[in-house]
Amino acid sequence: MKMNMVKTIMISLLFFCMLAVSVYSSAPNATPTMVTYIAYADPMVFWDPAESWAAELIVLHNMYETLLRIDPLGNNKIMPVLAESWEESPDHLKWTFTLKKGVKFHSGKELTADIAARSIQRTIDNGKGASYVWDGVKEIKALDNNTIEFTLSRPLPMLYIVSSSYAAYIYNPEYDNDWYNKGNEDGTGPYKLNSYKKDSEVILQKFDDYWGGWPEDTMKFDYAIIKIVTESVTRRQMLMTGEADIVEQMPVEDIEALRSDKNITISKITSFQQLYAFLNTQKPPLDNKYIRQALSYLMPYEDIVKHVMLGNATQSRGVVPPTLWGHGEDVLQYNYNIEKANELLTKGGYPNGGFKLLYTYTAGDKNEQKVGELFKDALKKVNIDMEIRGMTVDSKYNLAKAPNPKDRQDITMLYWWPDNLDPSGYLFSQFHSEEKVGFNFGYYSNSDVDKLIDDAINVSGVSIDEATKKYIEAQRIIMDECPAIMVYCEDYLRPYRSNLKGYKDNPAYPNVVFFYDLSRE
Amino acid sequence: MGKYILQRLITGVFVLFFVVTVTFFLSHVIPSDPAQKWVGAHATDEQKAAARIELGLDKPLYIQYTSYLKNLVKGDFGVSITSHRPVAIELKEAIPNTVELVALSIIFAFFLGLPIGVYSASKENTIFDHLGRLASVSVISLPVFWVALMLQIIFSTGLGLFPLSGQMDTIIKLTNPLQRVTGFSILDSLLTGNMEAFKNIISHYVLPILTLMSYPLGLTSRMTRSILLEVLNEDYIRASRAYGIKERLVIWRYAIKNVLGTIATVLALSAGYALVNTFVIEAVFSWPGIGNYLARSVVNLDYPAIIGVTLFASLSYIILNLIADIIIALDPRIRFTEGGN
Repeated sequence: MKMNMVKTIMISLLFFCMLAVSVYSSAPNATPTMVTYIAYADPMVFWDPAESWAAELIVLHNMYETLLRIDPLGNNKIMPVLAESWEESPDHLKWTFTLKKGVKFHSGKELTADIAARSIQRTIDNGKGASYVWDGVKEIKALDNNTIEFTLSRPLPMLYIVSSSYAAYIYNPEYDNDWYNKGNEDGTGPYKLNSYKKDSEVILQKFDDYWGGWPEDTMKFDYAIIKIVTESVTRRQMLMTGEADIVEQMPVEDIEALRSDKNITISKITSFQQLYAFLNTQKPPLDNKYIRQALSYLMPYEDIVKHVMLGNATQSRGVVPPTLWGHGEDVLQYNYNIEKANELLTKGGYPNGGFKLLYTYTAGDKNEQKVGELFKDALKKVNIDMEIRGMTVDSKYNLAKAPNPKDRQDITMLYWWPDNLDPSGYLFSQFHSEEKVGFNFGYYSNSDVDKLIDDAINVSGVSIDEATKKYIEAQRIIMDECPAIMVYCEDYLRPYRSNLKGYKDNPAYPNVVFFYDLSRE
Repeated sequence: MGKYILQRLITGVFVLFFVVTVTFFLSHVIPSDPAQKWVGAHATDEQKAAARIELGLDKPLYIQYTSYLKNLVKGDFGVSITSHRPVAIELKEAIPNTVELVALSIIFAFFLGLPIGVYSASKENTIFDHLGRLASVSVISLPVFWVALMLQIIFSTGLGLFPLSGQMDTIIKLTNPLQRVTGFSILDSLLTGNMEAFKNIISHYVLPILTLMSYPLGLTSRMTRSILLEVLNEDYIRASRAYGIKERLVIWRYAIKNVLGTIATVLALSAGYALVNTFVIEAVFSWPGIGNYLARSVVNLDYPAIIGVTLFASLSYIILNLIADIIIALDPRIRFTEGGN
């Protein structure tokens, strides 16, 4: 009898298997349209738009909107979003923005200038996240129902500030931090939150009362799904089977492998993301400028672009990436040149090399690791030994911030990208003198450079051209003194299903897909 | 017997205590900055300092440890550093998904492995037997993540039979949302009579289960075969055969009983192994289970989450071992020392 039970169970299991095979083909009818975007990690930690300063933006920019949006690839064209027009006072200290009428929040509340002003004020008062982008704004007030006025303590590039990728969202300021961080939202964006499952997916649903409307003929999506898939092979296959429409990030090898697939298009743009190899200017032998210059001549830039990035990057020129203002086309660019390196080593007192360096990078970052390996090879030719050490971000920073500069690494790798379209972060955070180490991992300090950067920041509200001149001047000095080797500026590669229409990668909003612009052919 | 189980449970508590202590101190010696993670990469020093106080990191380690233990006894596992959510809630969401996967794999492995083993044994040294052995050894030796990827490439990308990853299609979630009753998806879809969801979930379970069951399946069929071969040489089997009892009955009624105990023990232990395997394959299948959760927590050095998962894993091991021991104890030939003789 016992054995009969075993048999029964076996048969039912068999039936179960057959059922599983047979059911997959039957799809439900009347399906809503949806677009699926794959992220490699859960972006949602800080739900409060005043606080978010990381990957949350890929979700938040679809639920919330900013006053303006900027298109750095289209000559920094300003696109109106919640504001339809704006004006600057002759003394550069007052800006007024006129808001669109009839804009509704997801809660049904109408957007007024007062709400917009209070939401920005809340972000500033909170002092968290990227709220510093508003530094220099003295007062924000609503002049009437749809005019908002900013009073500044010094001229600021306001158009760039109100279109920042972080901290510039307009949201409902009635709610508090607790309410937001419980996973709630109240924005004016085209999509509202349907549901969220930690580490699995964020489901966004179209907001019927969106001010931009949902014209029948545009075939915009009813739902936008942000799915979290950690395994890159799975991401690639999901794209191939059509389970995914667009993928946030993938190793370049995987992307190259997708090129032959006709169903997949690969978008490629120059990003703002640059890789830097910081040289410890306070520890021998790299406290010697000639040795640092020699290292700059020994980085095999061409090989790195060709073999590490498979051509999907360009060698950096200066600190600021080529598509951002503040970049100088005539700033010195080092090239691989072993003769020059040898000359400089001799000049610096190490004619035969003979020293050892420590190169630290974030463990798991294949690109930083490969750059290290190629660099190590090049250094070997001039008899310099280098240890490549992969470390967790924490321990890498801990070592880089050790109290005694002599205990720190010799070379460490860092990516930089901006919070808004302003090069100040690149120069100020990485090359301006610091009392306490923040991101200046070259521990570089030069009062001339400091002054140029400070002046550039101050003048940028009045004249971008003036600021650019000063930034370029600062970069000339930096390139001569080499507190860092400028490695490459990455291309953003994003593979997506070819039947997806309307996708445009905007590097000012890294990794954001504006789902409202998309439709399926 | 009852006394024996009690004794084992008490030892279990000590093991858990030991595991918590070791994991706690290990995760605190690794150079890491939880306060920095708590506030995000770009926070100011003041925000970080506030976070240190909020998280209790300003206190000496032993105080952090005792307060962690105190909370743990109350069922409070602390708050995840990366997601800011209570670890207990995150575990509660993730555990059923993994348990369902492991349990189904073990059940399938048993009911498929047993007949394969029996058949191999009864056809000893035929081509089927050799092939069966080859297959068993192969599935035992293959790394699970490789099996997972191959299954995906063949059955999903290639043949399009099963979905690639996840536990349920998003579209089904939207059209036929699943009401949570027990937290176990298959069970919940059946309990709420949501057949669309049920069908969809089942199709998502196929590849992960195939992957996870490969090891216990190979093991079961190998063990069944070798034990059965031994048993079939016993006198009582020869006697049964001499009585003219049909071979099928001899095997399935008389011989198999001597196999079941061992197989059940082996399976209970390999359930523990399957649990470890989920740590790898859940990432491949984007499965919202405990393995995926641990993988992410380790990468982020999210120590409350790591300790939580470690506790769950050790608890599972203790229980599975206990089950294995109880199965052995059910054999009337086994006697406990305290039982008299």
